[in-house]
Amino acid sequence: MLKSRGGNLVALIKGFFDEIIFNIISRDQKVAMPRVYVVLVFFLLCYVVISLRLFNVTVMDKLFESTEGQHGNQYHRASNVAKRSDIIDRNGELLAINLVTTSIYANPKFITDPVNTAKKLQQIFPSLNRKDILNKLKSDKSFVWIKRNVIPKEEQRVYDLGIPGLYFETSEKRAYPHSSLFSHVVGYVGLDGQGLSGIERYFDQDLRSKSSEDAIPLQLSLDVKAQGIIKNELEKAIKEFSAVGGIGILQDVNNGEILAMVNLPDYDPHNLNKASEDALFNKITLGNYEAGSTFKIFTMAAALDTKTIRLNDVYDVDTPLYLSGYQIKDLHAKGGWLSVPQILMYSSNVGISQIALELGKEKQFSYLKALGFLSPLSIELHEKSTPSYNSFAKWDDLTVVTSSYGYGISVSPLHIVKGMGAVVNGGKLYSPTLIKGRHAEYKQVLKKSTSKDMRKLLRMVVRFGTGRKSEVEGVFIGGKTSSVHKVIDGKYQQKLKISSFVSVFPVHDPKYVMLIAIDEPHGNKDSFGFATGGWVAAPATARIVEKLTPVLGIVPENNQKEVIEKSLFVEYNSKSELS
Amino acid sequence: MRSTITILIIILSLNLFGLVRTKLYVQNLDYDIKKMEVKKEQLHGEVQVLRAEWSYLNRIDRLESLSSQYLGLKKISMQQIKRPSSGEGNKMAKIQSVSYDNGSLQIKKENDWRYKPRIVISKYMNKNVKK
Repeated sequence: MLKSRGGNLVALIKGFFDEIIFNIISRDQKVAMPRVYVVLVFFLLCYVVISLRLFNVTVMDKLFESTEGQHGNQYHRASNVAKRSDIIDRNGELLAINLVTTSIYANPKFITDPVNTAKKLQQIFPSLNRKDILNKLKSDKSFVWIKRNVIPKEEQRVYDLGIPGLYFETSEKRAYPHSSLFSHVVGYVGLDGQGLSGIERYFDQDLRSKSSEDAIPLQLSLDVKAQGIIKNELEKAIKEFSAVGGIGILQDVNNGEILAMVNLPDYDPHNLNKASEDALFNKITLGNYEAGSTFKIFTMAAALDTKTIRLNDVYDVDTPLYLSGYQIKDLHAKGGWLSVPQILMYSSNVGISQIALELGKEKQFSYLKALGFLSPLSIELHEKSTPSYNSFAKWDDLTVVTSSYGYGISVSPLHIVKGMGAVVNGGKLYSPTLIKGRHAEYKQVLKKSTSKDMRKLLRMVVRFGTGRKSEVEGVFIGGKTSSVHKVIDGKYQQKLKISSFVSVFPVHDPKYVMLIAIDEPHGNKDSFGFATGGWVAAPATARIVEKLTPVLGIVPENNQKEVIEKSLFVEYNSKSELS
Repeated sequence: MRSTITILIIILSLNLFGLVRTKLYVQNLDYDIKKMEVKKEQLHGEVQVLRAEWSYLNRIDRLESLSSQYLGLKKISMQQIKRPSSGEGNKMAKIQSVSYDNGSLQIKKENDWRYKPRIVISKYMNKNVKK
């Protein structure tokens, strides 16, 4: 059946061609007929193909164009701006994100009615001058910017005008939802999307991506809530003591992750033109300062670790110490004899100087080196300082004494936090990191027993010493105050100080180290004119810890208060025993 | 022979027709994919804007001011958060050492450490005294 149908069809086609061909060729040429058929069919097929292509180009493409929309070709994507991955905090909160923005431009050659177009555009953008727009639209150029980075509403209104010759360019712009909160850590990018500061600069290549699928967010160890709380309280302290600035660092002592890094004054990364030089400076990692009394912690830790001193040693601090023609005296002079805990509690320069001299230059230098104070930080920022100190050859007795209480050696505030972490966490020195979950490697720099003793001593400072105003109920804080004179043009300024408090909490089970420092505080009525670390930074620490406790999941130990307090207590009263 | 050639030509024509049709079909699909990619980019951009807005609206300072304005909530007191009591508090008198391992309280009895001062006379004191 099929065969007969096929045969009929062949006969039909053959008959059709025979009729044409028989009329134009002679019978003698019938021999070449099959070849003629082949050529004819070939040409016929060519016509069919060309017809289909014409149909495709003329009809089909037009149909698809109409579905794209009449303004579809008005949009162009800027090729100069690369895509960039998001930066998020440890809980997934956005810190930096790329947003698509639209800019409007015109090709004046296609604008048929410049006057009317300028009028309509000015109605949409009241901030633009109508004459300026008109001049642009009448120019001989083929490209003029009308308005850059318009909001979606404005974009829609221009789109709805439907004026030929107006075009839209979409590009990506970096946005920082928390504006100035992370300015020094996250940093900022330039106009072409290149990282110029902070994390944006350090991870510039890693953050660049070809498409939105490739854009894996960079997760930092920072915590938006902790950062916000610390900034808020720092601002209050700066205002209260008429200071010029302040810093706050919060670090996890068990892996070196930084949870907060606040630098005040800060700046808005969207508006860099308004940022002052001081605001752009990252004091935490790039600044080098003499730490003052917080260095007593490290001197004492080294002395305990080498068994140079014992907790029950007592020292004569009745008179100042004279060395190489210099007089070393106490700020909070207690006089008489002070035990080792008391030397730290009352921040005795005379006492710690004697301990440092007993420790000796070699041991002191090697411990400072082991604790990382003599080398630059290895944090994920390019803005890093190199500590400033005398070389070992020039490390004389006077350097031993002054560096024991934090003068004559300048380090960044983050160095202090790093060293403090090792002192309280069992002697493990972690490198500070801004990346969550980074493999935490450490060096054992102190004995566990030393760390345990130091935690007790730091608690004693808060319970009975200069850090009493940092006490928070249920959270056992340990710490050390410091008030250091600022150096300007190589001279110590007696009236200008940096008052700080470095703390650990909870001290019986160390989890976090925090440094709060206020730059150039001035005493007020409430502080009886004092502007020391104990009066300025310690109360700010207490307020911060109180707010941070629920955020960080620290349970106040109200039930076990006395038990824990007793375990952290060190008998220290030298006077009663000696009398 | 003729019929074979004719059949082959027909098959060829059908193949060519099918090829052109398939090409057009693939072109359409390709166009659809491009259109969807553009739409996906647009939606991705919109999601990014919404995420940024969400983050902006959840700023700590804004939440604090809104909370104090409308909720009037008080600050959490340390007394409000407590670890469940396990009775260790009664042993307090004999306990000398408390440590935490993996979040649980470890209590050890230790020998009483009695304070016995050791007077250290530093050779640096009262030396080179300038009066």
